[in-house]
Amino acid sequence: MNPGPVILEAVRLTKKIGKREVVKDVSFSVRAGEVFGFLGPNGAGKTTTIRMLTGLVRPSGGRVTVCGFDIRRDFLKAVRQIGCLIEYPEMYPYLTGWENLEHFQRMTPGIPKSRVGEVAEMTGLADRIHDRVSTYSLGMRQRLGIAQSLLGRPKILILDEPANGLDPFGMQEMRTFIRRLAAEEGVGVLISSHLLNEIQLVADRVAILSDGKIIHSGTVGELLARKEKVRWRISPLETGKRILKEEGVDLYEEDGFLIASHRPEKAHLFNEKLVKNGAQVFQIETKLPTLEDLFMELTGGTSR
Amino acid sequence: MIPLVHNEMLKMIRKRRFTAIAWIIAALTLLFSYAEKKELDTLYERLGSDDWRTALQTKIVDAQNRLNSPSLPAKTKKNLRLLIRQQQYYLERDINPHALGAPGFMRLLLDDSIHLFIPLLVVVVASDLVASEAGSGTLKLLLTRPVKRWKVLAGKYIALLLSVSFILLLMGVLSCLLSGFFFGFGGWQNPVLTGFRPAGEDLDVSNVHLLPLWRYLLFQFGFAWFAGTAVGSMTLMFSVLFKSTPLVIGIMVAFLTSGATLSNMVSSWPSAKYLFMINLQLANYLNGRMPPVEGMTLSFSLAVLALWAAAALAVSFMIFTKKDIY
Repeated sequence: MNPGPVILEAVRLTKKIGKREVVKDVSFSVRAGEVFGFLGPNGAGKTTTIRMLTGLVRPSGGRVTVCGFDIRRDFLKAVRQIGCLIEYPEMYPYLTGWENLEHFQRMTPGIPKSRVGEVAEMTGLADRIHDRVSTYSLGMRQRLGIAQSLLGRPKILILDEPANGLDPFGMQEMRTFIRRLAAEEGVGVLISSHLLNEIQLVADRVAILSDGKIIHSGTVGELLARKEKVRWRISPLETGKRILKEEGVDLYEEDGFLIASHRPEKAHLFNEKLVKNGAQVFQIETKLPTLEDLFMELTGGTSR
Repeated sequence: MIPLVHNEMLKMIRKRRFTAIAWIIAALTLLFSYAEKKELDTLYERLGSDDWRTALQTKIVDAQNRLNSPSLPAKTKKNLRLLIRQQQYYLERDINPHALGAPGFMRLLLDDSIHLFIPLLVVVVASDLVASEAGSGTLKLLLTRPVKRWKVLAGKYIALLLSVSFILLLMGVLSCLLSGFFFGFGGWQNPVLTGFRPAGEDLDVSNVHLLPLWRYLLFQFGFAWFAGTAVGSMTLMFSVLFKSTPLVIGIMVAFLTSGATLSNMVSSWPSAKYLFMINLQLANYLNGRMPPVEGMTLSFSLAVLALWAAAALAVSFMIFTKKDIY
């Protein structure tokens, strides 16, 4: 993928609430056409950071630029390029979907009325758009939220925990939609979540936030490689354990599986040896690290 | 600006606030009309005649008798004396002060609703202007549009002014139509005396003049609009400060009802006249009742209300444009 121009840039963002620094010196950038994952447990400062990006919260230090416009000094021009959906899909439940979209369309100069129908179509809401939002399911509200964020043809889409409350099917759909937006329309997408597997499936690059600081950033592949493990199902278990240990592999037992820390490429060598020694191997698979594992490692805690 | 006001009005209408208000006004008008009708019937029955002069004379005598009761508080006595003087004045000029038709009833209704009932209706629409959006989170969507924050709030304020006007329109139309069934629709040209001014124990009549009833009503609606707007501005401030609509309503109801109570208590606490809620009783200046604190005048009350409203607006805009939205 060819990297597009930087669309959103955060430089040394800091936010103090009272004496507590909830965001410390956070810098990153999002390019056109890429999906940038913003990962961290609840309370890590993701939400506060996102609110600084969208101009809702005034940073105590640092700056945010969107397409070259500073969010504080050039708020109108900067925010014009942003489409956002922050936390829950909040809409006016007593209005219809259409009225909600029109409401926001009226607030943005230069969006024609026809755009309302377009975004409804894009998000697959067209046949329910004239019903009241209070009759919508959570998934439909989520789509309406996305439709709303697309009204102004944004260059950058900011989605805060978009998968909250979505069923697996809805999440799958959302991922496809986001990838398509990035690939076909060159939109930069910033997506925050506390779930690693969700980010891993959709993002190109990722930053991990813990306690207000970015503790790691890089491509998703890189990140996962750090802590990849292999899960073995072997009978008898004891034989498997002995042989893998002889090979110098770190391992532990979990639910009748052996979890071994070695590069997946070496699995076939170990497999050969196991089979030769009379062990039956039923299953070998790479096990992706959990966010907790990564945190443990990244923050220097001891991992199993 | 127009699209913003359009949005706010749309939300208010779709929340059915005005529908609720219309029902409240209708119910109250019917209730009061019926009560007033009963009272008049009883009065005329007791007198055995339906001549208003006899009725007024009887009322004056009744009041004089009450005045002789030693247990009456000084303030009530004063008001009673003023009332007797007014009624005598009407009698001397051969003007029926209670000629009841729909407009006459509206006059009575408005006299009693400018300081509490209409402000409460305003609170119903103004309390959740900002608080509900902050509570439900839609405020975040509103403030991430390419619109300056002060404009968003200004849009809401203009919508509030329109709503106050619309509430008064509802009040006028509904109370006129519904009371008309009881009392008929005539009497717009009936003369009303206004300009009585309490002066110590007595009544200053040097400024008294005749107004046709419809003009008197216009004055009343004007005062009601002013009071409603002032209350709306205060409500907007609390709505900006707090996320919970019930809390805002609670504060404002406490404010308004305390005003109604305090007005009867503060005659010996002169600096109370600078309080917001004491000055809402603008009807006093039309019908010549005692103001809560001696020496308060119409222009004084209007100025105090305007100052409080301006201060509340200043605070609202300052906080709304600065605060962090979480």
